[in-house]
Amino acid sequence: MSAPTTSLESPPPPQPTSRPPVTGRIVLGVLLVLAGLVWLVDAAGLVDVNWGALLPAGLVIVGVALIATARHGLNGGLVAIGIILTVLVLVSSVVRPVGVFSGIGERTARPTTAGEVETGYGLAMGQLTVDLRAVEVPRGTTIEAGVGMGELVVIVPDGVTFHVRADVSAGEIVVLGGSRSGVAVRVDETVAGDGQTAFTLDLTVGMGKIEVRQ
Amino acid sequence: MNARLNRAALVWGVLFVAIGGAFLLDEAGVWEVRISYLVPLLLILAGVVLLVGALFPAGPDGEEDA
Repeated sequence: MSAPTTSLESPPPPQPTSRPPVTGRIVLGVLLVLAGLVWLVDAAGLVDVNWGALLPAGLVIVGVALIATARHGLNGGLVAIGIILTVLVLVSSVVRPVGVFSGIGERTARPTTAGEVETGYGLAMGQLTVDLRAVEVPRGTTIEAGVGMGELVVIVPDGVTFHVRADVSAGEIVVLGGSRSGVAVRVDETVAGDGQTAFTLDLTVGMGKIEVRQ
Repeated sequence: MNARLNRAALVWGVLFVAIGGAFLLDEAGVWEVRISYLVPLLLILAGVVLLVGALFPAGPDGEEDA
């Protein structure tokens, strides 16, 4: 019977990891500090901050950090931060032309007098309806309306002549039944009714649909 | 130089820098970002990734020599 043998070999030392585990937290920390500082100087009135540039700048910082640390491997945290920032940049670019804080939901404007007709209507997300059937819009008026993501419906009186300029980044434009859809859709036409052109509609939707009907 | 670069990290990094840079240029008024640019740019990016993968084969961990 042989005695049990013992191995004199020590267990292999743990492989040192080459990926710095704190890179994601460092970049996130830098982004938060920068955002806070910018917010602070803006609130103090020291600088008029262009907020639209902050998200893309943050995205560039994350991208540079990923490239700079590529020799340490792929940092999933940075990729997650980058994807979130990318979504925010894209949504912001769609919604911002009509104002990020212009509202969400369903809104209907139904002016009954010329004085109630606003020259600008906006909604960040949802459905915006501008019903002009109960009012005689003053000749030469330009009515601007925009929705970031969603649907914009403008109802015009029967028989009126008007000019419509409509832009949809991605989606559909329907003017009195005629439809165009796709990416970067644009309509610029005069709808003939009775008499001279009464007013102009300047309509914008980021992603969604514009419909002009009677 | 013996450093080995993770290709996925490079692709994500370049993608984020490109998107962020494009929107920064848009903010500066230098270039206008249009959604109609998106599809062709994604095609170009996919092609570049395929070309890099074909011309510079990755190691077992998706890494390649720098």
